Amino acid sequence: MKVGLICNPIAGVGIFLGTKGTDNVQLAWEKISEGLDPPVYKIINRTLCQLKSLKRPIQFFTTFNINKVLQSCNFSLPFEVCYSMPNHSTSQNTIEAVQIFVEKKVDLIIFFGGDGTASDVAKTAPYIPIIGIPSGVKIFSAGFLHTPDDLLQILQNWPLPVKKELLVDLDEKLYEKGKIVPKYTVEATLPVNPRIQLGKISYGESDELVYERIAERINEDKMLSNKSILVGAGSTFYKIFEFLNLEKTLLGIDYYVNGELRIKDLDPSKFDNLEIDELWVTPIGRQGHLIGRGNRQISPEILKKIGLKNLKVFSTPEKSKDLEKLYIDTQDSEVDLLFKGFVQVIIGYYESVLKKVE
Amino acid sequence: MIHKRTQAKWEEPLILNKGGAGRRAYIPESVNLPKETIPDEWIRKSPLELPQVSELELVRHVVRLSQMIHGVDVGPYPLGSCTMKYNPKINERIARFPGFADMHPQAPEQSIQGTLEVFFWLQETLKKLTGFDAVTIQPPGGASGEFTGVLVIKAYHEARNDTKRDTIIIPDSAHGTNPASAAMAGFKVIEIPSTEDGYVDLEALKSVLTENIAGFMITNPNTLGLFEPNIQEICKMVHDVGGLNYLDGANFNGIVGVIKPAKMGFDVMHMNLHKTFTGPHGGGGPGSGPVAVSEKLRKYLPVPIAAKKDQTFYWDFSNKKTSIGKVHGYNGNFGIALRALLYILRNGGPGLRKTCETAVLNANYLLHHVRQINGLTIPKGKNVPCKHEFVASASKLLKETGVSTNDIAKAMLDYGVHSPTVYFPLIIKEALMIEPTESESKQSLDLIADVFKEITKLAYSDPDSVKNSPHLTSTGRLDEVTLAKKPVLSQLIEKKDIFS
Ligand SMILES: Cc1ncc(COP(=O)(O)O)c(C=O)c1O
Repeated sequence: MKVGLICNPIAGVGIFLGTKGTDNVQLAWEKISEGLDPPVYKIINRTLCQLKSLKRPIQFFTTFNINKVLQSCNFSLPFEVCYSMPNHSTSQNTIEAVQIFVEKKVDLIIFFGGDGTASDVAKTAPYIPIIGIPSGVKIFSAGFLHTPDDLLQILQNWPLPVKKELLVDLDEKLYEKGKIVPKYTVEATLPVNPRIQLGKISYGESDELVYERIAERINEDKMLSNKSILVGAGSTFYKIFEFLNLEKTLLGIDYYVNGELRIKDLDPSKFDNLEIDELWVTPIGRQGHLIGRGNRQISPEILKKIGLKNLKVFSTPEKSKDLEKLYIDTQDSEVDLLFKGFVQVIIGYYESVLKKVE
Repeated sequence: MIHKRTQAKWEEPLILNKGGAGRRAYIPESVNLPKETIPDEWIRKSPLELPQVSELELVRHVVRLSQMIHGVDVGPYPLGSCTMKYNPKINERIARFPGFADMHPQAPEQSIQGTLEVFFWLQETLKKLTGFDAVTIQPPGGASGEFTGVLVIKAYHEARNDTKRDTIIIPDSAHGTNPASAAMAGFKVIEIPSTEDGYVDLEALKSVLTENIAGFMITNPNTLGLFEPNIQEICKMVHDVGGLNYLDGANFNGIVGVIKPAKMGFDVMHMNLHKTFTGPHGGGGPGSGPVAVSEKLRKYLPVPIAAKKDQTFYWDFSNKKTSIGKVHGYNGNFGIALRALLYILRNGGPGLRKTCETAVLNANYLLHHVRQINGLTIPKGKNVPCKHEFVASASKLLKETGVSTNDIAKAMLDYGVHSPTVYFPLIIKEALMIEPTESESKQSLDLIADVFKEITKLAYSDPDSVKNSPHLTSTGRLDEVTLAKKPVLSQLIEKKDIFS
């Protein structure tokens, strides 16, 4: 089996720029030159080290020396660097590297990145199956693993059935203004497996009552009182909070203390030393992610302190109905484990639905 | 090739648009009420708008309408969860005895001894069948029985000052009335997921069992027609945290005469007399939803309860102080209660057990045949027999032909077979919930199976013909959106066109 492995080195840097994507490549490289450790390195390390238990021969074509990464876990894999990424690489380099994978006739391309990288890879290799390792800021497209830890299973069971699906990358500037406008839509070949996520869809409920009822429950049960709460992103909260007469940013994580908005749209530097009693999230439509999609600002260290029992989940009934399971990707294997179990999803004035978190 | 049936098709106008001025089917005796005793605002200022038709016009109207519908007296009616069994005609005859039919609900006890006796014996027989200690016949249907039962659970906790208990747990396979009843009674509801096999997920249940739990509501056999294998353990888990167990007895036909629900660990249950014990309910009612409870809950039941002292029957109000109060204007839908008692007594204990066994056998026979049909699958209950019903899915057929469960439901009418219950339970995609009941013979079970076979075959060869069905009924597909949004519930409403 031949696998192409590519990494977008600036994936996820947007989190530290306070933007909802990493569309601005120049700013991202500046941030790195100012001393930010590219966040993707940790993910590469975690992802490749699990391959120690891989039980089949795989020939890797890569854009970097993977054995340097594997030193930390004391093993090595056969690989060939077939394209070397220049400093301050751009999406053009991704495209060139993938072209070489296509020439090498790889069976599968694995990429580290987000929705932008996914589109670059898919438009260059529309007929080769691709799998994304979640590393970007926007990870809403289909085709990403639910967590990096799922890669071993996928490779072990290869070949998997595949399907054609449109990938979507949202325009970051418009997205930040609350407009879901696709920048690219590219058809990709995606493996089908329960560990590979489906693409996000929006459940704009036309019935405002749905949100009002949840707001009523929050009020009646005094859920906001005497607590410090991080409230996650998304239109569900945006609308619920309208009924609570509280300001809420659409895509940011906001901090409320005793029912008052204290800090809007927190970036990673602002979490330290915050007192946090609860984290409120809403699953990504159809995809089912509670953590790790649209809220990667919250570091695993913070999540570890919060834990599953202080996680409150809200959803409209329609969105909840289509989700058999919920997912988390905290960016740390051990913290992921802390969030596995069952969680109650509040879907109305009186009703909650229990769902399994994987 | 099976015979189709063509339904009668009459251009039948609304009754208000029939007849002519001055025609009468019935002239009531005049009553001379002293006008002075009636307050002025109660006296009609305009004449009542009644249809003006002769008796013949009236009879034709009703007979024609009856020819344009389907009922269990016309053909098979495998409507899952609804138990559309045959309604014995002798029940109708007895229900028309003037002593029953002309009884006034407010008549004094000494003049309705027979009526009270029926209520009393029905309570007694239901206690025997369920293993519980007390029964109320008051709730007028299954859903109101649930509401009553949940209020009883609430009263029990409140009486013990256990006021933290604000939540009821319900599996995701439940009928929509379960969460609705719990919410109406003021509870919060947690819906828990089912396992791959369609049973209660014990891990999930365990994760929500806290001292906030007032009770657990479950249908058993469940809405997939499967008997919960861990029911005793489940009931014990709920009891261990101080909650009570509620059985939705809509599926009682799958176990009646074989298991007493009290023995499974339940504290409360309702029965749908119109289902298990033959109240004619094709038209949507009236129903009857008695609630049976264990001894410790007796004092919370609605009052009055029919009681007997020496040879006299009477209404017992003795639990008035602790009771949850009344849940119905009078004492229950007597007509259905009477039919249920007749059915129970004419079958007797062994007879009821036999009806249950036959219902289960019939369902399994049909399941065996439906399982072989290309396009249909049986997603749950692998390797176990079903009880009185089973759930098939037409997902495969939909994917391969574009023909949906809804299309199958419509197409069946052209064969003189009523559709199964569709799109319920919600956990099965394109669900067809099939309950043939014990009433159907082997021939009619074969007919139902053949109808499924023929329609699914047609779906592969000529999907449009299925999608445009029914072809032979009095009306084709209804505009379901308008039906839901602008229902005309009375001809007077339509005449006034209040929606425009
Ligand atoms: C499982 C279940 N529970 C409750 C009900 C409600 O009963 P009813 O229609 O008598 O109110 C039904 C009705 O079909 C049912 O199937």
